[in-house]
Amino acid sequence: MTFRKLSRCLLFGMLTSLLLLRGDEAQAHLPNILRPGEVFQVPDPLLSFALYGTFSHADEVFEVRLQPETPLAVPIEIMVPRQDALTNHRPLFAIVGKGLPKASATELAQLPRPLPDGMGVVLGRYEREDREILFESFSRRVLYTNGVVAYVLPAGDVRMWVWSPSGTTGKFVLGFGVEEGKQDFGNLIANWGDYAY
Amino acid sequence: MLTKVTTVLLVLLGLSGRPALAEQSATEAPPADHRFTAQLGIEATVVGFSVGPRLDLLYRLGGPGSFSNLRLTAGVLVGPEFVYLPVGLGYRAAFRPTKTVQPLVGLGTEVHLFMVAGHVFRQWGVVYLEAGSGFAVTQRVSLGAIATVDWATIGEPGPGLAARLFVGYRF
Repeated sequence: MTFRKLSRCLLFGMLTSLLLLRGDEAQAHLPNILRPGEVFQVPDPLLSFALYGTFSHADEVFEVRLQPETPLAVPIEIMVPRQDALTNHRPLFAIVGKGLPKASATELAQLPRPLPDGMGVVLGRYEREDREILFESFSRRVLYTNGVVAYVLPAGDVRMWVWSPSGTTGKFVLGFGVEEGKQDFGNLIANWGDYAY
Repeated sequence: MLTKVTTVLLVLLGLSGRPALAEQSATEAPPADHRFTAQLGIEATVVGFSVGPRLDLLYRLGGPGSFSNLRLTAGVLVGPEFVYLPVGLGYRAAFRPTKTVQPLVGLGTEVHLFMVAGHVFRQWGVVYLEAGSGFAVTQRVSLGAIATVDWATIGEPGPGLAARLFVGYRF
């Protein structure tokens, strides 16, 4: 094979590679945007989500709702971009639902809003002063995490609240669930600024 | 309006087929055979933000008419969450080296090191594809722009996208 033929083969290989680099079959945590004052309704509690939010004000509360048909063990973590400005930014989350432990007076004082009647609460805590760091390979982000812990969610109406107990502002990601889902690339592109930076 | 658009298109077509400016004045002696090209660029990564310099060293494979080049590359890019160090080896097809507009495409492999707090926190291997164009300033100097997509195939899977502006020099 002459050198020119080899070069043409390489060019053909490049064009073929472009066709093979399809991303629409990629499976990953489903990203979406959390906004304060709005409720994000989880369509399927068996799927895993990475929900991106930003505290612009200290008193904002973000809410997620899901409806498991049966009690469900779900890993949950809260992450913050590993950036100098966010070293002390440690949002907290609480799981609220019927059948969960009754809140203590201390817990009630920590919550950002009153508990609905008949509902209990579990607070996601930072067990360690120093935070683990993880690398998210699809968005190439480095994030602080409070560590993944699996919580048993009761069946029925379950809510997750995220707030900033120290009043710090900045970005965060609430990650939960197990099964990865098919990506919506329109959503990814439309909200890339929130997911990637 | 149609006339203006047509005029612009004709001017662009004329530019793309025009020999490099310096080449026009170098008709007295045959052009030197420059096998090497060094390109220094400023790159910005779109997936996982970082910005910094990247150096490409190209070695032309084959004779003077060949569009094939071996590419060695390395960079140091700094972002708010990590320092990104790509090192790679690849193939680049650079067309029309004596013309003003010099399209290029390429593919290859790179190792990406992501440093956090002074330590290599993550490393992986990717396959990349690149496309862009150089624009001759003189016979040896060119300016250009390149877009690159990559996919991590060794280590955790993940996409990459970057853009780069460069100045190139043949020697």
